[in-house]
Amino acid sequence: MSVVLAAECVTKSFRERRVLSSASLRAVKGQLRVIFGRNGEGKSTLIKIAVGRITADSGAVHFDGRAYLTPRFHELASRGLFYLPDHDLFSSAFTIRRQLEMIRRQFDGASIDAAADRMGVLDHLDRRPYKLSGGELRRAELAAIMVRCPQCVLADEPFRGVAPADAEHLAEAFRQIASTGVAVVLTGHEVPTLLEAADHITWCTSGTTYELGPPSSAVRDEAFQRGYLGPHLYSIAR
Amino acid sequence: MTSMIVRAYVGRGARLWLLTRLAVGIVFLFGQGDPLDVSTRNSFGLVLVSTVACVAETTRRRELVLLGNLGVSYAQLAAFFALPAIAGEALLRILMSIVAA
Repeated sequence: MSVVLAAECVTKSFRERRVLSSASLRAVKGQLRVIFGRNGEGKSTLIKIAVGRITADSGAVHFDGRAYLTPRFHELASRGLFYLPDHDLFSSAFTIRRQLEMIRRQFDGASIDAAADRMGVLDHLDRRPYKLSGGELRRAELAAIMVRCPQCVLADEPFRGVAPADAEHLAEAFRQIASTGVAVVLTGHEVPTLLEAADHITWCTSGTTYELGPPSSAVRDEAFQRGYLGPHLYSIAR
Repeated sequence: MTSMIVRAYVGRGARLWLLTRLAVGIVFLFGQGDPLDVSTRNSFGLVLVSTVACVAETTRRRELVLLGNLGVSYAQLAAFFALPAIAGEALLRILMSIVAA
């Protein structure tokens, strides 16, 4: 198991509110890992700390063999990290093609047309992001990952606002990205889709994280069933 | 850093410096001041205001994650925005001294 990125024993408080008390995140080469957790349990905070968008109160981040007490996002990104935030990635100031071209030139990345064609957004490349639907934007963001060819992808709720069929298409694309040796970590609430796509499940609750293992083990975890899945989803997930 | 990124953000810096210069010039004109005041204090203030306006515009457009993914640091971004403003103020000062001579 080759760990590309690890955030270990992370704590974070916002004023008096402790969001993370001892949480960890691991991105493993060739694996698609999913972090589940109820809203406000600290999934996004944990991801932002791991990518260097916010600073943890304590804990360390290891990326590509280096340890960082205060990682900086642009530095990790230069070394092969790609982060999809829980809001739109692209700027409204430029066309999708121009932004993909910036990524391609900066990192000597893959073909834009090939990535866009694979994600079904070839016809939208010369449009500005605000002219695309939510599903098209998410697919264009996946194309950006394919152009970048990163070592590690951390995506915060990449299926938000898309239809279930589109979510499955996106999950399949993430699986393909992981199969090329990229370490992928996702968050989301699309339980059946994510359980089917994932290699490993992490549950984030009460400020800490529990490594539940592969989806088949995760759905048998009684605390996870009670605390996150609920009886109806548990029966679907099985 | 590729020229494509530099051009995009230096271009924004230049546009916003020009707009700030015009706005300040109009205010000075109505206030009976010199619309092309290139004193050090005024130039410094203009560079600062136009750089802050660029950073605000970039934040408003939620481009910071994209720029981070491109490996651009906040310091580099501030430099992209400040450089055209500094160059513009220097050029204006040179032109004003030529005109005065």
